[in-house]
Amino acid sequence: MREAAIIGIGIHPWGKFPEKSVHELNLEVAQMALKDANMEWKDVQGLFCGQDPWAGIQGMLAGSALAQNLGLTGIPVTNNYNACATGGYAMRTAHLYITSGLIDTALVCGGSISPKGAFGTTKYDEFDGTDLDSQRFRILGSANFTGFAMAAQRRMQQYGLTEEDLALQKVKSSKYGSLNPNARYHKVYTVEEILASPMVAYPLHLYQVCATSDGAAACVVCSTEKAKQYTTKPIIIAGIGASNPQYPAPGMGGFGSDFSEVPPPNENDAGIKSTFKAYEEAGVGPEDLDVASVYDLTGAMEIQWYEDIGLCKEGGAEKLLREGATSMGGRIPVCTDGGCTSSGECIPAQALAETYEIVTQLRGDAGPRQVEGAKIGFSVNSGKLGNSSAIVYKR
Amino acid sequence: MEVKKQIPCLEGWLTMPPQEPQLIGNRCQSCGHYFFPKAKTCRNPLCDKVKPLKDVLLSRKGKLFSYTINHYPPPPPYHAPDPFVPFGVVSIALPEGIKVGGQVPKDVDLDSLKVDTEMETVREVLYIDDQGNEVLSWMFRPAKS
Repeated sequence: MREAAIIGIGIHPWGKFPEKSVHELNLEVAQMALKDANMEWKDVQGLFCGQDPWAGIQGMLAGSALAQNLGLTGIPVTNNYNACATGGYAMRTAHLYITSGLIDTALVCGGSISPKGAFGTTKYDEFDGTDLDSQRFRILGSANFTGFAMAAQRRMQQYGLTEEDLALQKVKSSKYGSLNPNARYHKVYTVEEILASPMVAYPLHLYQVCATSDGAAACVVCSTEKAKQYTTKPIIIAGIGASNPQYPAPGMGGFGSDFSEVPPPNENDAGIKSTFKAYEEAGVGPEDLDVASVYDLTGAMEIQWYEDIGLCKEGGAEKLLREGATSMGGRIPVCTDGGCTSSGECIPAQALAETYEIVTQLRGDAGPRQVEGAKIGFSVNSGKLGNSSAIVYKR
Repeated sequence: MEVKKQIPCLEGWLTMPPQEPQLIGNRCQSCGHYFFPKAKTCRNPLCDKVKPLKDVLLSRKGKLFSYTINHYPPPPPYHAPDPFVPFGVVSIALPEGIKVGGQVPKDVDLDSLKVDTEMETVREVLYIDDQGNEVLSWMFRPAKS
């Protein structure tokens, strides 16, 4: 199979934009990515767009709506939703369309106007006894933070993660967020300020959990052969994985877990499966990465990812953080755009925001947060029901 | 308000008085794997599924896998009391090889919780519904030695 490359990127700042619709956001970033790629919409041969679960039927058909707004050209349009991995699954599909030779050029997009507060159930989640996730909210009072907090607590008792470590991650992220014009929050926090913020779910304070944000991001993908027509700086998709968990899946057990005596992390985890699929396809390992983006819905999650993507052995993640190995100037800077902790999460767009940052880094366009000489980048995410994706990028 | 009756938060998920408090799961008679909440069909993809699932009462005691204290009122459909009181949420590893989530009763000293503490299943009032019924849920507290 042939290779595919990213030749254009577009992003809307993360935040709250109640005056805009998801379709306006998508149109804005799609046009930005096309312009960045020097490509005209009429030359795009496939559109792959994430669905916005909070915008009704039109949100389910966000890609079709985008095609209508850009002008119907009769190309195939794929609308997909895979929770936090939505953008990654859209990239995976676009990548397959291109590498298989079916099409040469693709536009990938995702955006959302998110509800306020913690993600919970929606009016569409009927209480019919089969949606265990809705019932978890209803009976346990366990929104997503609760599970994240239990994972953090387990690490505290197992590996000596401290509240200060968690604050340190936020200090790091807030520094990079302050240098990113598209981040929602630009304030640089101190450890003391973070630990003084209200407790949400012990050990997680308010400033350590991710907000819900509006936003959108897009990119133009094409065959490496085609890319030569448009740019001298294509970013190659060297490896890509999109996965779901394998039974027995590890985890805290919301209501209940699968039968499993294997504690996390283990190879049945979708994030780990996606990661190693992408590494294998790219022929690289974690030691080869120059910059990475992981899904830091909480600081504790960022720290766990260090192990899950193989930056260190189990139990070694706190040391990496404390020594600055994952900070700017360290061996492998992580979440150089400030991550979710500086921007909040915009589910259908978040994986593409990760792609936006890594492509910006590999192009050398990251300005004050540039990782000098970055050649190989990586992004990974995972979300509801274990949906996950990972990409290795090379310049 | 006068209490009318006690009802389970989810029908068929837990035993009701006068039975001992226990979770009701099910077990695949082919591969032996346990499920809570009950599986519709055995979820083990490698199981031949020749024999059916059977309802079983799960062990009352298990080990604390992890825990947290919720300091925020969860959004609806959760019935958060006003004023809100922080509550403990735990993940318990049962001898059946599954982990189960649950709340911690209000009288338990949450600072006393430690990973691997032996915990037992109890039944507590989760909230009072609009008709004045006590809605009961399973919860976990440190086991009496």
